[in-house]
Amino acid sequence: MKAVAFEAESPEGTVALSVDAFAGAEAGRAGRLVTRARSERALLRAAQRGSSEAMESLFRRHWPAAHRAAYLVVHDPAAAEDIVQEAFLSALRSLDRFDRRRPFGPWLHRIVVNRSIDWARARALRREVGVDAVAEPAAPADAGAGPLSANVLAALRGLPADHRAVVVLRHLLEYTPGEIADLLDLPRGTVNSRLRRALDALGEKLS
Amino acid sequence: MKLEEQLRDAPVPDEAAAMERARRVVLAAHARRAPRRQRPAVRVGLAGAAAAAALALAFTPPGAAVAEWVGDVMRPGADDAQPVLDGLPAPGRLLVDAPSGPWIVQSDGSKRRLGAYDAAGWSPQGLFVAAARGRELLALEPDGDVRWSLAADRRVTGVRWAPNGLRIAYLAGPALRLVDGDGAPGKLLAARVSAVAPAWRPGSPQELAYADAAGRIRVIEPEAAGLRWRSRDRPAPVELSWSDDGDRLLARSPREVREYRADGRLLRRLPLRTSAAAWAPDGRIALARSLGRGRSEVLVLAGRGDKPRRVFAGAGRFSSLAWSPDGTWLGIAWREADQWLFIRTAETERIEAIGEVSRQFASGETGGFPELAEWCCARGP
Repeated sequence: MKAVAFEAESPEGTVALSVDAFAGAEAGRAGRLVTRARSERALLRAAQRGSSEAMESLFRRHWPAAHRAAYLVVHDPAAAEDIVQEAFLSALRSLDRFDRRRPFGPWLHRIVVNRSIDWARARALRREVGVDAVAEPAAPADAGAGPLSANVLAALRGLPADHRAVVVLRHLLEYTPGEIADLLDLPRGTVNSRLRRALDALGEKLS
Repeated sequence: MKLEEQLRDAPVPDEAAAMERARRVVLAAHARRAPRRQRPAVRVGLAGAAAAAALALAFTPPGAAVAEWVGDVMRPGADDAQPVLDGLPAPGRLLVDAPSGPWIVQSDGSKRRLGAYDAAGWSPQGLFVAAARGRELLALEPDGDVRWSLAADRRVTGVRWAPNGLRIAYLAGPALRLVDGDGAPGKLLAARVSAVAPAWRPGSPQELAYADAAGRIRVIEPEAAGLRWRSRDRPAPVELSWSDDGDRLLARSPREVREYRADGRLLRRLPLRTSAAAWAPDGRIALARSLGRGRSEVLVLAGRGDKPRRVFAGAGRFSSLAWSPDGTWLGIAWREADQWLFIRTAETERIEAIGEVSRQFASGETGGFPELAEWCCARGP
């Protein structure tokens, strides 16, 4: 891999960007990532200055994945909604301090996934009996879902919350094990072992 | 299919609706936030601080100090709330229970304070209002004129006008009493009951539900002096209400909601911490439920087999609910936000918010948050 440095002009002056440039098919992805990063910085800047359109764009860009990730960890629709909503509100409270050179997604995902793990652990401890009488079913038989997706949901539910989290971060949000270690404040070895055990367990349940 | 595809395709319940609800909240919070260069000093209201503290205790994101949470608070409430109640979204008249006394709000938003009364309830057709003041029970015209009054030996609460318009049940201290609708003295129904307003069952014959001193639910026929049924155990309800068709009785306790059939059979028990409940004319039930961590939600329950639907969630507590007479709108009193929300539950969902309601229902030095009591009939004076 070859590190390539760019200089980009922005209202704040010249900023330095570094992008790892990959040969062959990866080069296009790297280019798209740079473009997306630049547009996200523009959105953040506009949102910091009060633009509701920019805030809505940021919201629409990041909500779906964050919400899906939260749901796959907590398996409770209302809790997933609350967790991600509060994460966005937390982002708003810190918006002025946010460094636009950092990507917004990982910052948001870090909050969402950690809270989701906390919620799932707390629920396991509380053993809320009877709440499910009102809460929507953890694995609804959605008419539009294929059997494979429903099976993977059921298999995920059988994993501990922190194992679900690493699976979601790796295979839904596409973070590397090193990035996952940063997001969850864990040693990389712990991430690798949780991932391995989780995938083994999923493989057994889904086979 | 690869795992990635399965995770992406796995069904997420209520996905689109959840996104829309959150979008409104996030954008409203963003709009209330001052732009970077014009940011005023942060004010932390009591309710906002409480909500923030609850959040800080529950969620501390890695690497973020708790001080960041407490020092930067988002006040609960809908941002685009109208500052003035300039009309109700559906026909009818709204009886409001404010610290300054009961008020009647007309469809066009005009309102009248009935007087310095402690409690009030509509007569069946909305022609009169039954009210209480200290040891006095009164029947009022909607403009506040006293039609008749009756002195009791103890403080009067829990006033409820019977569906046929001929009787009023009320609590005088610990006793449950009955008076004719024209003020003629009535009778003692029970010497000691719980401090819960009784509930008349719509339809015929006239039946009255109340909670006895032990916390059991009893349903009696006052005219026949007969006990129709009583609950086997002691749910100790804080609120009793019948569906509009008289087929079901809702008993709300601090940690549980029970639904009974008219003959006393228990239909379901829901282990929910609720702060309010209300029947829609078509038999749906709205419940304001505490989620813990300083957050609450409003659910609408349809039939027993249907999934409850969340219609709103937010920081703080929803203290009262009222359905419009046509059942299309649900009024929600949001104390911490000092707002009323009106949510259209039929067809396309809409939310209308009225802010600063405490100020609008203050009288002289007497202020405080006004609760939604009853949303009555479209026709009437």
